[in-house]
Amino acid sequence: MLKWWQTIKVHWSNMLVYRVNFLLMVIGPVLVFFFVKISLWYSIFQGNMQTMIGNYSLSDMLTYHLWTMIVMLISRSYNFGKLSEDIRLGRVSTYLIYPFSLWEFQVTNFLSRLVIQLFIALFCLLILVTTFSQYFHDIIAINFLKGLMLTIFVGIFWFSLQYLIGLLTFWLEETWVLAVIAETVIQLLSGNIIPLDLFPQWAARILEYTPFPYVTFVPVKMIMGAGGDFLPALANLVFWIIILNFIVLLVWRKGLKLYTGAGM
Amino acid sequence: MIPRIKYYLLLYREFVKTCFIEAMSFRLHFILLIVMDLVFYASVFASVDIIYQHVETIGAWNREQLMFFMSFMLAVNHLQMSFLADNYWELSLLIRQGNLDYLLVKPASSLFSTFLRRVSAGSTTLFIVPWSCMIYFGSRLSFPWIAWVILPFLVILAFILTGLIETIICCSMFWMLEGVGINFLRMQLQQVARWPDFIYASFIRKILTFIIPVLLIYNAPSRFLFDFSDWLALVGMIMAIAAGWVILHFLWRVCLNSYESASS
Repeated sequence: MLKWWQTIKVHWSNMLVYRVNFLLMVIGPVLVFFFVKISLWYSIFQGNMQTMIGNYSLSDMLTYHLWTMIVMLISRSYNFGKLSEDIRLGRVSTYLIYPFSLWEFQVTNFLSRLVIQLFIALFCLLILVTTFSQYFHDIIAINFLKGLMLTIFVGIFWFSLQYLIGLLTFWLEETWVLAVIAETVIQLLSGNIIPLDLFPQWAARILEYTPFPYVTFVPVKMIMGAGGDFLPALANLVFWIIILNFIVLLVWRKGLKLYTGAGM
Repeated sequence: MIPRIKYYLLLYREFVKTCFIEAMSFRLHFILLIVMDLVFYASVFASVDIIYQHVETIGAWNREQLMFFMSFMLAVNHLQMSFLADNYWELSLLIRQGNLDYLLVKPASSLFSTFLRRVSAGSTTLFIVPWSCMIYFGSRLSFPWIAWVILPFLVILAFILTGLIETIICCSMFWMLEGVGINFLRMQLQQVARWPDFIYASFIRKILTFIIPVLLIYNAPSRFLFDFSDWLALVGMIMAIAAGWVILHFLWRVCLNSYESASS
C-alpha cells in the first residue's frame, strides 16, 4: 500500500510542476466547451424561458450542460500520451523488472488525477451553485451521490479506453489519432453537445446498445433526477468497463510479444 | 523578389516531398488521419442537423446557411490541419530540446522553416469533402457567380488569419517549459470560432472580434457571401491580417532573443 501512496504523491508533484499547463489541459477545454454550448443553446432558445425543445426548456438545457461540465471535469482522462511514449521509447522495460507493474503505475496516475479533478469539479460546483442557484434548486442529495458514483465509474471507463489506445503503440507509430477519433465520437454520441433524447428515435434506440449514453447522458440525468434506475445503469457501465479491460489484457499480452525494448 | 519567391517555393516543395515520403512509411497512421478528419466532419454536420430537426432557425440563419458556414469552417480547418497544425505541436519540442538551433542556422526565414516545415500528408488528401459540401450548400443558397469566384480567395484569407492568430499564440511557448497546454488553448479558440458570432453575448463578441479576432475568421467571409452589403467585417478581417503580420514579425524577434538554446 505504501508504494501506491508514494507513487500517487510522485504523480501529484509531476502534475503540479507545470501548473499553467495542467490548468490549460484539464480545466481549459471543459470550461471553453461549456461556454460555447451555453451560448449556442441560449441562442437556439433565443433567450426565451417559455420555449420548449423536446422536453427541455432553456432552464433545463442550461442545467443539463452545467452538470455535463461537472461530469467531464471529474471523468476525463489523458493517460494515453505518456503510455504511448513509454512504449515507443522502450521505457516499458523498466516496469517489466520493477515490483510495480505498468498497469499499477498507470492506475496510480489515474487515481492521483481523479482526486485532483474531483477537487476542481467540487470547487467549480460550489461557484456555480452560488452564482446560478436557480438551476440547482431541485437537486436531491441522493440523486447527486448516485450521479457522482456513476461519474467516477465513467472516469474508470475513460481510463480503460485511454489505456487501451496507449497500448496500441505496440502496433502503431502514433496513437493520438485514435484518441481524437474516440473523443470526437464519444462527445457527440454521449449527449455531451445535444442531449440524447433530442436525437432521432432510431439513433437513440441504437445508442442504447452502446456504452456512449453512460459516459455523459445517464450520469447527468441521474443527478437531475430523471435518469431511471441507478443499479442497471451502474451494471451497464461496469459491463463495458469489464469488456474494455478484457481487451486491454489481450492487447497487452499480444503487444508484449512484439515489444523490442528500443534503447535497451 | 521573384527569385526569392521561387527559392521559397522550391524549398516548400522539398518540405512537402519529405513529409509525404515519411507519411508513406507509416501507412496505417496515414489512413487513420483520413478517418479522423472524416469522423470530425461527420460529427459537425450531424450536430447541426440534429439541432435543426427541432428548430427552424438559429439566430437569423436557417439550416442551409449554418451548414454552409460549417463547410466553410471545415475547408479552412482542413488547410490549417494540413499545413500548420503539426508545426505547432512540434514547436514546443524544438524549443525544449534546443533543436530549433538547426532551423535558425538554415539559409531561409526562421519563421518559414519553423511554422511551414511539416505538412500533414493524410489531411491534404481530404480537401474534396469540405469543398463539395461548400459547393452543395452554396448552390442551395443560390449564390451569384461572383460569390463563387471570390470564395477560394475568402478561404485563403480566413486561413491566413487563423494561421497568424495561432502562430502568435504559439510564440508564448518560448516562455513556457511545456507547450502542450498552449496547443490546448489554441484548440479552444478554434472551438469558439467554429460557431456564428451571434450566439455569443455582446461583450464576449466584441473581445473575440476586436482583441483576439477569432470570430472574424469564418463569420466575416460567410456573412459577406450571404449578403454583399455586409462587407465591413471583411474589411476588419483584412486589417486584422495586416496587424497580425506586423505583430508576428515583432513577436518572433522577441521570442528568438529570449530563446535559450537548450542544446548549445
